[in-house]
Parts: sequence; structure tokens; C-alpha cells
Amino acid sequence: MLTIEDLAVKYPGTTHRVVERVDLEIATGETLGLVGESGSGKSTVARAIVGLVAAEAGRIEIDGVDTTEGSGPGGAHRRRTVQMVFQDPAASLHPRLTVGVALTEAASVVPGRSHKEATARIGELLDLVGIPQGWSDRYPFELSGGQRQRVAVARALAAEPRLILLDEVTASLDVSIQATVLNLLRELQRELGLTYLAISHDLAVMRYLCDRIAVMEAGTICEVGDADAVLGAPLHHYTDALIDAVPVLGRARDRRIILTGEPTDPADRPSGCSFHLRCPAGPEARADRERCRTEVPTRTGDPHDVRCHYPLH
Amino acid sequence: MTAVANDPVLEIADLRVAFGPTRRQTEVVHGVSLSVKRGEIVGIVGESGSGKTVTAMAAASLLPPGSQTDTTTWRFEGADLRSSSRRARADALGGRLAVVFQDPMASLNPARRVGAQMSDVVRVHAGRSKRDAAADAVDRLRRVRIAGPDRRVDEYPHQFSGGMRQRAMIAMGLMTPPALLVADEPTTALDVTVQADVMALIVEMNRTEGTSVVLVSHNIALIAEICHRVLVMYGGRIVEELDAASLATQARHPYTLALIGSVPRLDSPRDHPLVTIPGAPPDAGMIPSGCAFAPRCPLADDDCRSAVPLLRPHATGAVACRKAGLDP
Repeated sequence: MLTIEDLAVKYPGTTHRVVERVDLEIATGETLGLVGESGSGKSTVARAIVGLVAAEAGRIEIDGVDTTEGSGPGGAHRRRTVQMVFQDPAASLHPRLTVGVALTEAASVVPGRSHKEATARIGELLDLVGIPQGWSDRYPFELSGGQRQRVAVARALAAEPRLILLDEVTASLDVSIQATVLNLLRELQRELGLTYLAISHDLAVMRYLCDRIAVMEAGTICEVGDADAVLGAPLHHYTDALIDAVPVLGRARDRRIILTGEPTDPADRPSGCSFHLRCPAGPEARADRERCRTEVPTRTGDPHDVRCHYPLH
Repeated sequence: MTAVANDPVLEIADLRVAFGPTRRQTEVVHGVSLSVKRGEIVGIVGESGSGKTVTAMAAASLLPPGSQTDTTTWRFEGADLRSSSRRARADALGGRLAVVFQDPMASLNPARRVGAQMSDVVRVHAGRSKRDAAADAVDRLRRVRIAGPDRRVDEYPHQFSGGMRQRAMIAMGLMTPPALLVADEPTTALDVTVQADVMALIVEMNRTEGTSVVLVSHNIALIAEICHRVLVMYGGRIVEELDAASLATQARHPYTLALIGSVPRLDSPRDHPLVTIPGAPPDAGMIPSGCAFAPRCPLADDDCRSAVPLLRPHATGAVACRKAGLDP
């Protein structure tokens, strides 16, 4: 459904690529997760897909239609197909529009639909996200954080997208509310055949939501594969370190890996493998791995793909 | 972790905190007792509005003016803080109690060099000379693994990354080895890798200096990993108290159990839907007639809704629930 080839993004007024050499494919009905530390480029990839930032190089295709350029038939196809839900529901809900008005407005963008038909959809949309129909004349401030996020999901669904980008959608919610929203997203996907691209720094949330996971480091994808394979038997040392850092209830604290230094700054990307200065199995730790300093590793092309000269297995 | 001694560093009994104008004050913490032994790491876990941060800030004497704090006991290292003036309290806590906030910029002065801010602590509380204090600052930055500490002391907070600022806050706490560190969501805004690093520093401080820690977090797995003992707060009260080691298997309160079941885990099958808790946490300040969790609790009956359950001790902890403990 979505294909990204060799995407690179540069923000205006800067000279470095925050994202480069990103290749991704998402099949219809699947959930792909993007994980990585802050600054790794996850959100930039999502913003490029919806056209909030321009691609400097590479190609983005949705259903085989080139949507890389923001305007023209590609852009129109993208606007019909893709919606995004943000971490902060206040960002996608107008504070002075009632739930019903916001949903009607979002539903009216579907081609050939009258305002009356759009209004008739409200009840259906609220049902889908588990909000009582009578609440359509409430304002966002009258809702709790979890309810607001459900309305934001309903608003995204109103435009009848087939691909929804979920950017840290549960990060601002209490854990007891997070579970409800995660379950809702999974049900909606089953019922409506939706495709998701999810972004989160929480690996456990991603494992729950995603079929496949792509790990980003310093603006590029260093590992991608089935969620169980990537999180259960990672190939890249960076993925291994991320997993190791997550506290698990009922497991004693026994950190194998402590990453030193700061996440790699894409403005100051080192030569060779971008992770080599922090890598626990790289040239800083082992004298026989000098090639990591100079040679950029390439991807293997396997279903469980990795960009590393010395993968874990 | 370091050996836990029996003498308490901090003892608070029946803490009540209210905010707002005099005639319309809203009580947000309704009688919390907190005792922290020397060398002990105590975790407070809860959702927004549970009163966990207010409890920790009250313990550190950091609540804003206009808040009303009541206790029946408030002792820090043996000193009675309950009857002392604000000034005397500051003297007792200064240099002996360190605080790390979620947002380190809230406590770092953006217009002063990091080293100078760190030096203040020992110059005020330990009477160190300017030169010695500056050397201490470099040493403490090195101990929290900040690269190039002799260069970094002369930088401003904005030149530090988020993780480095949080480490600098801990370094500031290390200037005079404190008896108690209060850390309020110290890693919530940070990446997991940096979180692991910051938590390792807190544990190291506990181990080498014998510093007691009160760690406040919404992350139950993190709390279980770091702490000796865990307090679960809901609606301004402690609803359960447990050894951290038995949290995963011995929890009895329906809220604690739901909380554990609602968090996705890296090591559980993903085809099971997560446990959901209907409704939302109560607003801070609502005065419940009965158990605050009753409206969301699958086990609640009329008795639960009419009277607040007491925190009853049992073999491995304490629980405030009429229904818990019947079939543990």
C-alpha cells in the first residue's frame, strides 16, 4: 500500500539530512512501527508521508501513485487516503468547535458527500470509538484526555482514510486509559481493514500494536522485520540496547548494555556506520572491527533486514 | 542495593494537603503516611491526580505558598519539622535533602553557568571556599559520566542535552551527600537508554552514599525495578503498599492488579487484549464518599461506595480494600 524508496529529508535553512536512505514498505491491513530515540527521524518520516515536510530525494508511493510532490494528482490521492493522529489531541481538535461540528467538517472532505450525509455519519463515528452519541455537542475541554484522543481518532476516520499515521498517540495518556485506546485501535483495524504506521518510543506499546517494526537510528533504518523477530531476537546492536533498557515487571534489574554518549546527532553523523561510536560491539570495544569506522553497512534485503557489518546472529 | 537500616530518615503521618483560596480549599491528599528508612528506596506509583507528586513535594517542603499542609508527625533525620518555622525547616533540609524534577530546566537557572549553580550548594550549606566548591563541581559532573567535565562546568544549561541536564541535577544533589533524594518522574521526558543511565546513577548514589530515595513515577515496571518498597496511590490516598519484589505476584488491590494488567509488556503474547479499566481517574480534589476506585472497580458494592476502606497490614504489605485479601 505504501512504498518509500531512498527517502532523504532536509529541513529548510539547514544543510544536513535529518533522514536519509530510508526504504520502507507497508502492506494493506498491516501495522508497521517506527521506533528509535528522540532525534532519530521517526516523526520526520511520518511528516514526509503526509506532506508536512518536502522530500529532498527519493520517492513515496501510495497504491502505486507517486505522492512525493505535495501538489497535483499525487497530492490529491494522498489527501484522500492518509490521515494522521498526533500525540496531543488538542493539536487536531479546534477548541471552539463541538465534537459534532469537527466530525462533520472532517467527514465532508469525502468526494461526492453532502453536508447532510456527513452529519448523518457522526453517530456512526462516535459509536466506532465508544463515545456516547449524545456528546456530539460537547466541546473538547469538556472531555478527558482519553476521550479527546478517541474523538481525534474519530475525526481521522471521518475522512475515510485507508492509511493512518499514529504519532505517539498514547504518550500523554494515563496507563489505564492507554490500554483502552490501544485496544480500540486494534479493533478498528480489524473492522475497517485499516493500515497503520505507528510511531512510539515505548517498545512494549509497539509490540502490542505492530506486525512489523523498523528501528531508526541517526535518520536511517538500521533494522526491520516481524515485530516478534526484531524485539525477540534482534540483529542490530542498537535494537538490542534499546530492548535491554526497558524495565520489565517481574524481572530483576540486570542491564547487560549501557549505551554511553548521546544519541547520534544527524547534523554530525560520523563516517562509516553511524552507530559505531556508541556500539557495544563496535570498534570502540573491539580492535578487529575497524571497518565500522569507514564503511557504511548496507542492508541485506532479507525479510528480517539489518544494516550492520557484525549482526548479533 | 545498599543495606536498609531501621532508623527512618523521613517520617510523615496523616499528611493532608489542600489547595485554593481559604474558604474554598480543596483537599487533594487525604491522610497519607510515609516512612523512609536510611538507605531505602521507596517508590510512589499512580496516575495523574493520584496525589503522588503532591505527597513527594510536601515531604520535601516544596509546596507553593497558599497550600495548606497538615500532619500528625513530620520528622526528618530526627528533627521535628511539624512545629518548626519555614526557616528552621529550610535549615534542617538544606544540604541534606536533594530534589530532581521531571523538567530539570525548572530548577536550573538558565542565565548562570552550571558549575556556579552547583558550587552554591556547598558554599551555602557546607561553607566551602569558592575554589574548593568549583573543584567539587567538576568531580561530581565526572561522577555522573558527563564527558569533559572541566569544560562543561563553564557552560550554560541550554548547552546541555535533556539527559545531561538531568544528570547535572543529580550531580548537584551529590554536592553534599544528601540523606534523602526526592525524584519526581526524573526520566519521563527521556529516552529509555538515557532513563537506564539516570536510574543507574540514582542506584549508585543509594549504594555508595547510603542516600534514601523517594522515586515518584507512573511507570510501574520502573518503580518495581529500582525500589525496595512501593506505595500505590489513587485518589489522594495510598491504596496498597508492597515489597517491590512481590509487586508482580503479590498485589491484591483491584486497582494495582488492573494497572499491572493494562500495561503492554515486551514479554507477553500480543494476541491477548490488554486489561482495561472503565472510566477515568478521579480529578484531584474530589472528595469521595467511599473508596475512590469504586466507580471503576469490578468488585465494588454498596459498602465500598459508602465508607473509605482503611489501609490494613498483612504479611507482605498493606491494602486498602474491603474485597482484597478475602481470596489472596
